[in-house]
Amino acid sequence: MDPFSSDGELVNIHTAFIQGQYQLVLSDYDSSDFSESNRLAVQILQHRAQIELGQASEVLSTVSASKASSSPDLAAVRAYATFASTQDDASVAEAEKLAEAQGDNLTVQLLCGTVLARAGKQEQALQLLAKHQGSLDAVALIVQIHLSQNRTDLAVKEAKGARSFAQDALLVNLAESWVGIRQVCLILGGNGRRLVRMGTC
Amino acid sequence: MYGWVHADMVILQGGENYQKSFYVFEELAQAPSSASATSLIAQAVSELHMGRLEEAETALDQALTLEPENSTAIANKFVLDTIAGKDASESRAKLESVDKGNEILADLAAKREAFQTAMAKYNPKFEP
Repeated sequence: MDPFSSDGELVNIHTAFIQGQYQLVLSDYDSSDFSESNRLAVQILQHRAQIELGQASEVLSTVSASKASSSPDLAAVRAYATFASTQDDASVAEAEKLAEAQGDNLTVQLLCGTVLARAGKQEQALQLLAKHQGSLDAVALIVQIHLSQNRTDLAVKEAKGARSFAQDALLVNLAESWVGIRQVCLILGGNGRRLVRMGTC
Repeated sequence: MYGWVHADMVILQGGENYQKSFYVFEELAQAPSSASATSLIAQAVSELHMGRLEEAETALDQALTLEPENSTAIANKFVLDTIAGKDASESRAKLESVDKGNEILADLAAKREAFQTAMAKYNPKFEP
């Protein structure tokens, strides 16, 4: 079940996030306005927005190591923020550890999957992301990883599969559009491979 | 003749996909309620692929107004300047200062090294 589906309370903040409106994600939403069960999801989106804006060190000071040890979601945020600010091997090892122990957690799948993919461990990232349960965020990340490996064919397949269960969702439109930019590049010899990089990856 | 037909088909197919992607990115990038640097960069990249360099530059400049330090925007500006035959040293220097390990810089360094290795196999000879 996708926690960000269109009938939920999280739809607006999630849409702002995937559109890359990171400043808006931080300024227009307050986790205390959301119902108890969604507060963590809001905090995570806000931490991710901060990291996208280059404020990983602020995230690291908010999400302390002790807070991170209390929840796999926050542990994944901390591993991602550490990787974003240092690119060091320790954060990759931490992401691997979380992927091993908490691979069913969606935040772990998305954030540790991103760390693994960026650290050159795309196959491990794909294995982790394969555990998702109908999450379009996971699908979008899988599409990005396939594109980064020059496997446009697999990216097309993944995006098509999502279209069948999510019809007109924005993330599916975006995923198809990322693929569309690459479809002829492959035929002509792979130029422009590095040009597109979107918020979720 | 056969070769020409084939090349035409490739270009047509790509054009249609680029155009579809462009519409999605443009719609997001140009509506005030959804605009962001990310969408503007995606719009610019679509336009680069379609050879519309001036429009690509406009979109990239808008992205850089929103987020002046956005390394993806700067990397694509570097690409654009190079394609347009402009002096790309400024955008390159900016990219180096903002994101030293950027993929495109690493790629350029690797290609330069490969070229030097290949060059070392040959001795230049000049005809008098």
